[in-house]
Amino acid sequence: MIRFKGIWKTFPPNHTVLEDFNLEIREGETLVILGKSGSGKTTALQLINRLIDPTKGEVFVGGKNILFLDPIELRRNIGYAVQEIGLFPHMTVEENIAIVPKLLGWGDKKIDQRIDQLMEMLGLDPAKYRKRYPLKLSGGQRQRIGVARALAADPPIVLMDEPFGALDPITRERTQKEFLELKSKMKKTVVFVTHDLYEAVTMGDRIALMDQGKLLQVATPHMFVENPPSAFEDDFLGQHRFQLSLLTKTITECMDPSIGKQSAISPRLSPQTTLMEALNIFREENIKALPVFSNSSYRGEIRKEKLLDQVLDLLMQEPKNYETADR
Amino acid sequence: MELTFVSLLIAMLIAIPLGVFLARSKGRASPVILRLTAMIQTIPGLALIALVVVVLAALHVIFPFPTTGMLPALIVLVLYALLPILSNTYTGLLQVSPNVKNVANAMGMTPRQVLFYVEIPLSLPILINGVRIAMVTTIGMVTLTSLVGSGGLGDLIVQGLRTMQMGLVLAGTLPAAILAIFFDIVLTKVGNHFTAEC
Repeated sequence: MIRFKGIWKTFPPNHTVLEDFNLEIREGETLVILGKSGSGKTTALQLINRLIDPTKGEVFVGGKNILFLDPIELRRNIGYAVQEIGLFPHMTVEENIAIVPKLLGWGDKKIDQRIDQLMEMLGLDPAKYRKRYPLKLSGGQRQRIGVARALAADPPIVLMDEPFGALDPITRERTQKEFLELKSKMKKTVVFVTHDLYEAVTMGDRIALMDQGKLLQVATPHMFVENPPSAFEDDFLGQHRFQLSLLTKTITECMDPSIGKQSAISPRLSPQTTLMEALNIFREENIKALPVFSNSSYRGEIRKEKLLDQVLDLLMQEPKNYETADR
Repeated sequence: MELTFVSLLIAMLIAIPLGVFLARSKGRASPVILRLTAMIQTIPGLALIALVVVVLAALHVIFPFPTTGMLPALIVLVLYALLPILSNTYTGLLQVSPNVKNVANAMGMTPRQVLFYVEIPLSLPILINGVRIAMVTTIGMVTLTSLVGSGGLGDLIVQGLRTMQMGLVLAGTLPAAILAIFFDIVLTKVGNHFTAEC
């Protein structure tokens, strides 16, 4: 869907931000670009809608070299969401959402329906909030409007630059969950930039780790936590490994496979459920075992005891023995 | 009265596009031009009027414009009104958050759309404040220009001064002062209206 080919970006006089950057983003996936500030992650993102053009190399979107496309046209077909301040303070909620559809020349009626549809989808009552100005909304509400605005013209690609960065931790976690849910209902390619490791493993189908303009690794969140690049592991990952494992490991390892009897207990887990999610469900439900379904066929069950054992195992591995790491 | 508004209108027609141009161009022209207009502001009003009349008289051979009356008054008033409008347009546009402009670009707005939909609306409170300052100084200055025969309330004041009649002086001064205060309040209200919305 999106392909970076041999990208170099140098800002005058000779500050190199991207160095031989190659990456392919698949259709329908959420790719998180993770890195510290100054790693080049935002530059990489802005190459996609030509807010920045490369010094050398090519960017392809949907098979077309975008350097030959009209940037205005290109941008109208790519959603863009940044931290909440990106909303226009002089426009109401509905005016903010309507911008791109208006630029594309949609009819008033179609725009009107789309605004209602998006606001309902994001859990904001249109009758109550349409005419409000962004400053009269809470941070979480503003963020949702930002997402609604990025989705307004139903673009196949959505770029998000630390979209939840300005939210407090609780609202942030809730908004992340809501976005994941929303994402699962739509076929969109999302490129998501963050410096928050937890956000990266929660949001991403794959994580691209960047440092000093170079791409270090592209991996699924699970692979990323289990086999991080060694430099990164020493710096940061070590102390967080346990929590991250809970967020990325799925329950498949401690599942008892189907023995034929199928319980009718209501909360169903899936093979993709992470340990953390399973723990939360057990905490809320207070039952001994839960069924696992995949595509509505019964796969087995998870016993609370066994789950807790595995969590303890993970905890025992901490701290990791660093002497085996390559140095 | 018309003189005030006409000169203000002309000043706006020059200063606002110029301010937009200066804010857009990243060159070194901006500080030079801004300092130049600021210099005009430092010339005493009376001196500027005299200067304009003298220059017009000197140019009379080439351009046969009237050297007294409305024209020199208009030129002086426009020159005076330029700076507040120009500098406020300029600073108003520069204070629009780069993040907001970046988003406007990213949504696929053309540079012109970014200017009219985003930059100008967001700098409107500051821009209107510039017009307000220009208007109040113009109303004050316009009485001075009656010295070169532009007429108006200034005539009453000058006559009153010559004949030492308090009544005449007040008849010119009070309406001028009230006008200035009135428009000051009106434009402050308009400016506040735009600020309150966001």
